[in-house]
Amino acid sequence: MTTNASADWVSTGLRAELDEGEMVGVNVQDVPIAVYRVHGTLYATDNVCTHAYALLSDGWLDEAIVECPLHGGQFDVKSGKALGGLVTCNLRVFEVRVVEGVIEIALHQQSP
Amino acid sequence: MRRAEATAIVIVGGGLAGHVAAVEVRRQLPDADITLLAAEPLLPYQRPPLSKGVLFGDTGLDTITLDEAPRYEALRINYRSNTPAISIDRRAATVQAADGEKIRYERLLLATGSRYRRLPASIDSPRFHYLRTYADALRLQAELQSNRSVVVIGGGFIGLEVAAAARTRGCEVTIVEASNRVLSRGTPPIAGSAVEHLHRRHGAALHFGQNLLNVEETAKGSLSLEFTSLELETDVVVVGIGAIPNTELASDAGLAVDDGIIVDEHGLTCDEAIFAAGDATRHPDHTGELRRLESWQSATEQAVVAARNMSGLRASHAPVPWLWSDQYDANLQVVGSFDFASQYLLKGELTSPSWTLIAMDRSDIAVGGIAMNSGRDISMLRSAIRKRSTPPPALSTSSRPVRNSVETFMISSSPPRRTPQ
Repeated sequence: MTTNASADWVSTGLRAELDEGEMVGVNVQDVPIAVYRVHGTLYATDNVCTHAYALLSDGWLDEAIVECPLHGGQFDVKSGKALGGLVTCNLRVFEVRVVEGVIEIALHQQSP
Repeated sequence: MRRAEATAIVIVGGGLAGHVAAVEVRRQLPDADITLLAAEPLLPYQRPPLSKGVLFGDTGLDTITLDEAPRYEALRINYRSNTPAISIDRRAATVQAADGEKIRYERLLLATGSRYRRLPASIDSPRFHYLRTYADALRLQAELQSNRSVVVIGGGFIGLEVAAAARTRGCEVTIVEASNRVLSRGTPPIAGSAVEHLHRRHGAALHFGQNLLNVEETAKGSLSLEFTSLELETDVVVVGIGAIPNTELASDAGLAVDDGIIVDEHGLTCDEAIFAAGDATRHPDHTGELRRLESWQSATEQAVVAARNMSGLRASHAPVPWLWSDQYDANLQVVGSFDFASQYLLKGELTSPSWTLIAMDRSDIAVGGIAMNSGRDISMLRSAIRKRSTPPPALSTSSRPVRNSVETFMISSSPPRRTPQ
């Protein structure tokens, strides 16, 4: 992942100790964010499903696909892409970096 | 140079399955000639909100219209509303549309859906409702005014969702069910008891073992209902007693029908030019058992699979049955089947806002589950059921064995007993 030096990095307050295949929800400046670790890499997306109100971090992470706990909508956590069916709107994804063991995201700098 | 003639695809039914299939065929066959025949006047729309958001009055047609339906012209999908199909001539490979036209097909998809089951005792009154279409939902929405009394006949998913919507809108709600419990088809008794508890807690009254014998309009305009051993007077009646698959078109054409149009895992009927998808079908689940699933998820996946096979690709669909229902603040999900369940594990308390009931067969293999506000558990269970494995340790270690009976629910819902000091 390329790191944008001018991005506005914000601390999530989370230690970078997330286990492989795990995800966690956190509010960053009042924005609900989900952070995932897939094959060693950290990813961050919006935590609220684009279909109905539910936190994706309460759902199920299988490889790079997160499944919403309410109606089973699926998203690719790497790209934020809605994988069809019930969910048609993509999630926003955010760049992630680790500084001194703490996870930071580029909250105001959306990846394309 | 003369262009090769485009493949003629005809899809009968403008619901979710028909729409999804039309869009998928277009994706696979840019040149196909696609006709979609719909009985309804509107563009295809989502039905799940009809028993929820539309009844609250906060969800309009623009929200529920299926994505891409407004783009039919750009997608070159010839959508014909108010045009049901009347008959199929398999020898000539034509469909007779209601407007008189005979439409030739090379591949035909039947996505005819289902209709509501009617009560023998019915009345033609603006206060007596069934629910299937957006128009039905709008009519009902206008009647669900605060402080009105509403009797919901039928304690299945639709009846319970309507009851929850009516109660939320301030109506006085009574649920009357013919069998001895709610969700009597497809869920175990212990789960039905927990869902009954949810509705009682929100102030609905429930009666069981009651069949509607007679309904009359009173002088003041309310409805008087006579059940087996119960009489009620109410402002509004909503009937939700199940769905009947629309199979007549298929059976009249000589296709195999048995409580649903019979299709294989490719969505193919016994005629290799005719496919079927959605509520109207009975199709193999992950174990090969033929099932008729009234499920959003299944209708979508099956339609995609049928469309790909109609487009000359190879795809199959043998789903673990799965459905969800939103009632009050509870998201209920049911996965797999309880046909071969002989042992149950319970995670959480059935009277609490979230719990998971896991069903296993005699060999400890996970076969089904039902959960309230525990979607992650259902995702894990679905995967175990598909793989025919035991429930994942993340679930089983936090669960305890329970007996599947109403008594179990009563023990679990009574306050914890304290040992005298």
